Amino acid sequence: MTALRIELRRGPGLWVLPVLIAVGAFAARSNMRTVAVWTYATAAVASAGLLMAPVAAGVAAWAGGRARRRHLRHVVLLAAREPLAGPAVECCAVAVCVAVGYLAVAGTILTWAALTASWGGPSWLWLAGAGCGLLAATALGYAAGFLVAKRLTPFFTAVLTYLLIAWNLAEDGRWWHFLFPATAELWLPFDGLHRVTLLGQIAWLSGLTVLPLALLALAVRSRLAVVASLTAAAVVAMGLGAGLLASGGGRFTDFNRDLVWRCEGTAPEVCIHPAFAASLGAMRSRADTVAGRLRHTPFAIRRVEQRPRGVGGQPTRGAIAYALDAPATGDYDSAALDIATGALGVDTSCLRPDSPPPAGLAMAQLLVAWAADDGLAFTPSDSQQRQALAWFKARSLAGQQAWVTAHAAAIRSCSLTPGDFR
Amino acid sequence: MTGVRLILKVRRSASLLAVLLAVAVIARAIGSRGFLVGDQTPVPLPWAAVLPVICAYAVASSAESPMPLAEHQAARRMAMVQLTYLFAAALVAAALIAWATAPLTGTVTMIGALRNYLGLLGLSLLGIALLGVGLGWAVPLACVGVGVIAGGLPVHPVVIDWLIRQDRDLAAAGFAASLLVAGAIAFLAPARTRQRATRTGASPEATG
Repeated sequence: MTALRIELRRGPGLWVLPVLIAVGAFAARSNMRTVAVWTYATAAVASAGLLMAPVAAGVAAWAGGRARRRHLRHVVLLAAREPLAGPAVECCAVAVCVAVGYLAVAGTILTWAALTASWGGPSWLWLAGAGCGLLAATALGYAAGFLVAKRLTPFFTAVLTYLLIAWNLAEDGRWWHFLFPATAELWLPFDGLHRVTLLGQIAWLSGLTVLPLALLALAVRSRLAVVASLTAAAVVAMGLGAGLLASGGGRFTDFNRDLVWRCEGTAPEVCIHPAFAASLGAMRSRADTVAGRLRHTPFAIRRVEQRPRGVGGQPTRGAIAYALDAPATGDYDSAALDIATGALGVDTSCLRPDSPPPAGLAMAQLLVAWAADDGLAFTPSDSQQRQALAWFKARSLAGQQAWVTAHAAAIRSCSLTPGDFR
Repeated sequence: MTGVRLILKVRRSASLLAVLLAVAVIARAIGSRGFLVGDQTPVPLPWAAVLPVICAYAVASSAESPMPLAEHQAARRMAMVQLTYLFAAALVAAALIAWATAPLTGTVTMIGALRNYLGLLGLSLLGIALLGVGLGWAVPLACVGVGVIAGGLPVHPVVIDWLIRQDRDLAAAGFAASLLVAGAIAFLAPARTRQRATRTGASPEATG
């Protein structure tokens, strides 16, 4: 412990700790839609490594090359200790500072989430995996600096780490995507995390942390037992991790494991995922608006459900689905448009994949904007559409509802034209 | 000519030129590929920011004298030599960046890359003046990382996202120019040169 304390005092770790915390907090904040949902808060903490890992690797490379730059390697090698002890302590000192930086960012965000979130909890496995990634980047950087002790080694180590991480971000969905020390993933409250992938990532990154130490042991001519045990540990952990990741096939989430709701109201009954419980009031207000506009028409709604986008997005029978990404006004307005679109059937009649939008789409959008009471959702593109909009807005609510009832067939077939609005 | 040759040798200008050429060739070859940064709101990884930071730090670290005490005690005025070397190296790097980023299209092209290069050169000089060659890269690299990620955010001030603003953004250009001036002043300050020389004289370990 004395050696570690001394190294912490004279090494670069403590100097760079504020920079690590600052870039980690910035990366986490940038990837966080809201802290009030545990899944988003966890994803934000895990993405802190995007910027922390390059800095950690570069600083570790600097620490690794310091003894050789200052012509002090003989002091380390002549000490009455295992030859690996000196480099290992130097590497550990930087790793401790990186871990403290990560824990500071994680602790702040998770405490904030604990005070505001209404459902669920963090994924400790994922957070541990992200921490292992930072330690692996540190160990690899240290080995690079130790083995290639040049002036620009720390800089190029940091740049290379940054470029590799940035390149890997676009390779989402492949099993080897999780071999890299820092990734950014999206975790929705409806989904569970795929444990096999997380365990594989932890095992791989743990092995990747030990492997540079094995290389260092070889470089400083440690005892054979030390080299062999470190190499064996690294190979076993990396092999196990790669095997688990390959068997997971790049799957990060188990889709729709938590399709649960908290519901309120009648006609319409508004259902929302418990993670967004604080948004129930705002969503009830939007749903009531749509229900009020479509009352006494064939498109009246009884129940609306929050659903994930894409897979699992189909609502239960008789309900209308909407998506909500974050508890913000813009997201509520977008969800209201989802409800209006689903209620009028515009999503099934007008928005067919692999076919051009039909001519009636513009007029269907006019009705969606009216039903959601969102004036910005429809912009007329010519004078006919402008006249249609003005004519429809001039009518009373009862008149509008009667018109919608009369033109229900045209709305369902997405064949409305501006000429119908008269 | 002997003086020029020695200055070029001690500043490792051959290595610098090799690094700049290699990076420029690689950047020209792969710069048009669409790497993405950010998971929720991905933005293209701007070579117009990454290439300049590599060149800027290589130039700035090359300009840092490895023999501060000898140069401080020289009969000639080394400050002018230092400035001339920095200017010449910066010019060569700027020409290579212009060549490497010529095929770039979009909102940040060659002009934006050169603007970023000048601003990042200032940050590199500032980083070296504050933390030395070994750790000074943390300043420009952190700035690039933050700037690229800021591209996915809806609102951000010029201090954060100047690197990814479009070519003709005057605020970004002004900020880059002010960074260059601040960096050059910090790097070339006589007090820093004197301090490095005296520290090196007292302890030969302090240059790393």
